Amino acid sequence: MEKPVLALSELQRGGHVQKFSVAADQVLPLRVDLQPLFPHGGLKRGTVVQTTSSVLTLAMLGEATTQGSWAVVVGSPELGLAAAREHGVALERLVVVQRPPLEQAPTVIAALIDALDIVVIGSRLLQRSVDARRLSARARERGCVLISGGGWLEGPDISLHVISQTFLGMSEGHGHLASWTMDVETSGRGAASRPRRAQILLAGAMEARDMEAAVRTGDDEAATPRKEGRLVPDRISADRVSAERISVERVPLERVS
Amino acid sequence: MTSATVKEPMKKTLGTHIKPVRVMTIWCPDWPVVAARRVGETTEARVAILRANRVVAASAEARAEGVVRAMRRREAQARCPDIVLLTDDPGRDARAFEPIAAAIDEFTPRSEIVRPGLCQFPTIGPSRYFGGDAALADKLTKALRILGVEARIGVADGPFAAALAGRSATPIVPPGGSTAFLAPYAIDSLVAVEGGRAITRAARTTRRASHSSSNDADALALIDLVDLLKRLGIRTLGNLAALPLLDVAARFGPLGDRAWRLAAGLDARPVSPRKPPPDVVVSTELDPPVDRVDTAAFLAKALAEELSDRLAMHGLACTRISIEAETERGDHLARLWRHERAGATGGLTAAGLADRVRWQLDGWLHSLNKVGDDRSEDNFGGITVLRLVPDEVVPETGRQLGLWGGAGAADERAARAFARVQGLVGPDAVCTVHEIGGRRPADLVQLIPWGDQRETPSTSNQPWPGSLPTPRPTVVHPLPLPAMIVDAQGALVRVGGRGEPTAEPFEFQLVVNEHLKSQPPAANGLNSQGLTIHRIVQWAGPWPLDERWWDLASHRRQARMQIVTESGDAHVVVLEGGSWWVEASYQ
Repeated sequence: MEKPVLALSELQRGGHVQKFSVAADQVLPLRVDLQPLFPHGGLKRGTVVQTTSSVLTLAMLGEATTQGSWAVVVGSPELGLAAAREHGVALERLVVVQRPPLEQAPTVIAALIDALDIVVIGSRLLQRSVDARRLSARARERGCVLISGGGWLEGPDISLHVISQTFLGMSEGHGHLASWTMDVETSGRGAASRPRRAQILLAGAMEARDMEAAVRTGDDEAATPRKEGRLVPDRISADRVSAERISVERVPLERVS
Repeated sequence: MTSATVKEPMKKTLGTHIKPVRVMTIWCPDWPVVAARRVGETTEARVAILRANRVVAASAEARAEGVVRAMRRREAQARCPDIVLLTDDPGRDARAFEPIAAAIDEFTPRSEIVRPGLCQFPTIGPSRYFGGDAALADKLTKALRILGVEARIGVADGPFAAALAGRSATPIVPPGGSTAFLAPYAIDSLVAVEGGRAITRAARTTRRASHSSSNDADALALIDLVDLLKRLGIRTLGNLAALPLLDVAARFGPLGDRAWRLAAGLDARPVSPRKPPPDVVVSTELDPPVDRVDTAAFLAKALAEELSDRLAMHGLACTRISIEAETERGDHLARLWRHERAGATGGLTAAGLADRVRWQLDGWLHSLNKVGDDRSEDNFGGITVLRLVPDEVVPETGRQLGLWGGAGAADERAARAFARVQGLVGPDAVCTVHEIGGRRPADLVQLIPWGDQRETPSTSNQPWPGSLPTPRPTVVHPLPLPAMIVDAQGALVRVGGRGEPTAEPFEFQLVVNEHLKSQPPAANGLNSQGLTIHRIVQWAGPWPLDERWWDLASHRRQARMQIVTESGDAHVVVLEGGSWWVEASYQ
């Protein structure tokens, strides 16, 4: 198959290359079904995300930590870390600071913001809005994503609200919890001011792995669970999958060689 | 310049070998076992030390029963049912070795600890003073016997030959006789002596899979090389030494070169170590003086990192370090530590340095302070100054970082930030997450302080009958929340002896936290007694759990249920001791 060879001048104009690489640099990757919730299809560096849902927090860490970003959880001792791997978190790049003394919390968080890509901050950790303002400014400057467990005093860039949850797999005295779905809606400022909705399937380790494998191979059919009674993730994700594939392959540069 | 003239001097530098220094090695066999006994952890005859479920050392009595290195715990117990198993603790080994090192210091100022249990020094001065190698060895053996330590002493040209001589019937090899002495030894002795803390074939597969340190990687490379040499028909050290060095180096690289030098009875390192530039000494004044090992260890880590950074700036790595300390009473303490496989892959890493400093401080603070517990003049108090002097350095061959910084740079940046936070809040504040096995949600992970290299065999992939199936709860309450599950008549639901609920769960009542109580009751469905009440729409279970029934102290008996309330919350609730608790939630 003949592939068009790009002229050098065309490359230097950089249209092809920039469109993907700059965006990829500024946005931390997210798992496929969370992407439609975010204006850039990922966690934009320097923003503050707020959610009270622990499982969404873990789900947001998953893709980024597997791709080499470090994440730290500060002051959130109740977070169920045992579930982290199920949601794709690479534990070797996850560190927790369980209970920093309240008066030192801003200093500790500032030090972590300087070096890490994602900092998860427990609710009730920051007492003064001036600290929150300083920390979000610092995060913006350093390109760190702050995920707040609620009560962010400065107005987050984007908030994820759980509208409703459905738990599947158990009835009166039978079965066990097998998976659950969440309707999530966002609110926020700037690019995130338009509310977005998505349905997210949170499954046990086995199902999650199947889904992940399917997404990797680009098999859209398999990426959506077909079992009866299980809700299907948002169809938008299918388009996102193909968009993702293009950016990963870095098509324009390949063609030249 | 013709090519011949270039070739000639090159051949010469490769061909000339530095005459190895005459060395005495003092080796205490089964040191981890001896150390455990000296520290008073056990008095039993049959003892084995385990690391990551494998035997790393066993007492002579246990060996007589057939317990050998690298054996699994289960096998060891099967062969010797009354064996006492202890976990490996390098800190304990080092602490117990301190008095022995101090005794050896009476004979020479230049003794170096290779690892706890193995010590070496050049004999040139002491031998002449005490009247020959044999007399020196004799005196030293007697001095150590007074301390209650059986040591094997060997003297030869070069530490490798000396270590083998210590194990043989002829502990003193005459000067210049090392090559002849080594020749009949099997090629495996390279691994036996150089391998240090025994990484044997059996343990290899598991080690490979797990995260292994650079030291282990060295040992594995050596095992591979020895393996290959054997298959090529080179079965003794003499066979290897008979080959031309240039060919060995060309075929097997730096490791082959090193093996050849050892086999030929030469020093492992071809070049003489460079004198370190004067400004690489790092020291810190401790105010207030430090008398606790954990505090000292934390400082040691920072200092070790500073030292290795400075050495790296000069393109050097440290193979022998002098750890020096000054105490409140004004004592100067100093001890040399040598890198076990010096010359294999550069020198000590920052973590390796920090380990040695920690062991040494542990040794000083424990063994010396203990003597003077009741007599205050013998107690030297805390350490006021800590100094690390690189005693011997080699050019760093180092590792290659990614071209654009890459993951390596991000990792390093993160590591620095964690060290900083540890400095702010305390070493235990920053933890890494390790999955372990367990039945209750809170048992599933273990937090290990950042920088601690603790080897806990992961049991998370083993079946834990009675554990909840995935997905796992995403909120695990550090303290379970008191709650109530009642039936339609308002009576508390109980679980019978056969695991059946006494009635169908109908309502879930949660005793509310203080901070929620302050809100108006209508906002969160509070009733007048401070309870939130929700109908139960789905439930599963109860599943009984009877854990650790063989141990009264940690025995737990409970029944668990998963419930979903009409408000759309899912919880894991537990009935234990007659009352219900919310152990974990899905949210």
